[in-house]
Amino acid sequence: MDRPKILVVDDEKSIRDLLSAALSQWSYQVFLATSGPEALGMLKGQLLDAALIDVRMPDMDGIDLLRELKRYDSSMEIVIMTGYPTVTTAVEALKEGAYDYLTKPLIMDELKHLLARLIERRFLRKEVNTLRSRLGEQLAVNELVGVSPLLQAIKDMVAKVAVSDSPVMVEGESGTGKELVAAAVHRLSPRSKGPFIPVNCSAIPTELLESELFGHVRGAFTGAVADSIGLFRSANGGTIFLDEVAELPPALQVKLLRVLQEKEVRPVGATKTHNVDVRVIAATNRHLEEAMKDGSLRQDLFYRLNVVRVQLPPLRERKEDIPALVAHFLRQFNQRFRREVTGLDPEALAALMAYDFPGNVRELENLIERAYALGARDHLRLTDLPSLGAGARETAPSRPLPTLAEVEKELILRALQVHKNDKERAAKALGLSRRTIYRRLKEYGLL
Amino acid sequence: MGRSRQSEDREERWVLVADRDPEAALLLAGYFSRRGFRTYHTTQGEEAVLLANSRRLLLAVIDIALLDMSGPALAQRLKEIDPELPVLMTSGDYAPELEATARRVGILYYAHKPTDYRLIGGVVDKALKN
Repeated sequence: MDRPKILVVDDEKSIRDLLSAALSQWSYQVFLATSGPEALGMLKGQLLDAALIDVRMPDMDGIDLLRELKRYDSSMEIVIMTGYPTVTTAVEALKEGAYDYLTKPLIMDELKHLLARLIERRFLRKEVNTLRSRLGEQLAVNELVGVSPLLQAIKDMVAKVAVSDSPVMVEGESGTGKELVAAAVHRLSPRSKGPFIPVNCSAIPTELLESELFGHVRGAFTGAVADSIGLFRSANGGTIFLDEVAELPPALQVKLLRVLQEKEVRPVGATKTHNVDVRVIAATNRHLEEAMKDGSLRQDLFYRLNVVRVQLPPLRERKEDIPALVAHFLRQFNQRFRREVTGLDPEALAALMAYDFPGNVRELENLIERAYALGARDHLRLTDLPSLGAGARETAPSRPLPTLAEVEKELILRALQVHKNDKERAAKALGLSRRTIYRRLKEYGLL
Repeated sequence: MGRSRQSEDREERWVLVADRDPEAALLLAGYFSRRGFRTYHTTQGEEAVLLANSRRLLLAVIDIALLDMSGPALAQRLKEIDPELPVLMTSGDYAPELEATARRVGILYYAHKPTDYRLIGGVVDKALKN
């Protein structure tokens, strides 16, 4: 990493010399200027990390220079120095965005620590900006994958609801991709440059939920050692996705409703409220009307959230999407595991198509990931999907088991088909006597 | 009687603790070890990524800053490997903007230092049960 660049602006030569020597010794790259205009001239074409500015200078005072520097590069950290400290100047400097305010004579140890903290924070900020752009890319890649009319209808719906700012309710079984839909709504919305924060309400201990969502003030409960802004304020300007919203306790549902109505949050233990500008997308894997009926989801909150409802079908209802999903996951895992799996055998694909996937798209993804973990290299074979053998025999919970008679009738019909309606050969293939097959054919109305 | 899924997870998957302060990392890793988890602690983000690429992680507890990268940057790298990995983040710097940054990566819980083990333990138990 390049050495951090620090600009020193002071009309006193002794201060410039002192700071130049100290900063160089602490491994910073130092730029010296005697006045505000000279400092501004040095900015052309280069980005500096921080500036130490004297307040009293002849051509332009330190506060005006601070303002100008922030206009040029708002992320530059600026420390104001003064030999004549006054509360008014200190307040003004901090109001204009100074990082800190030091009085002369400078205590070098204090300055050293302050600069270390300041540079670390700047380093974190830089990474955040990179992360933001990478997150955006990731969401763009994670398109809703599939070709079925059902999925196409959902894509159309997502595009339509994204442009409005209404709350959205996403309903679907576990693993159907509710978060993906919420992320797609966010990405296509005017809020796409703001944060997208997914929250699984059922994964946070009940007693911490309120403070996680709305923040807390120091001392609000044991362990609250400092103020926390919480999830809603962190999502300001963007979208918050509340998964498993019916798992919120009723008292908290009331508070959430208030946040949606008033657009402000009150941290736990605070008297003051804070305005928030957040779009809420909520989801549940339960049937919404049932959740309201059994009291786990408050009716008033439901109506507030359910301005637009997106219902995600289970994978078993859109099996034509399986090949596209498989291709998507192969590309993803090839990249992650540095392999070159080019496809899957027809038997493996047939087994996937025959399976009902009670765990939906997430189960398909896990199956393929496990195949990679088991060493799949060029092609996925049925043997790379060992759990599918047992799983594929499982039927959807909604489909009743066939009776023995139905299975026997089906077998006899298949044997007759294979042996071109030759009853004796069909009987032999099934291990039945000639008499038995005739009796069964009569019983099942096939004669 | 067969082992529960949770106890299998504890034995077969790793809890990663990453903190730029080696002593803090060791203390937290010790807490998880005493609770029966297999733990790995480090001060380096790149080392944590290597572990995540070679072992299945059960959860990760990451400080806001490591020696070679920020905590949110490591959380993001781990989420790219396993999007559903529960990540808890700790911070001794109480600046709200750092909290917002961390939460925007999609972490499960954000805790200020000094670490309250009771709170962390509660969050971990619920996350694993979930």
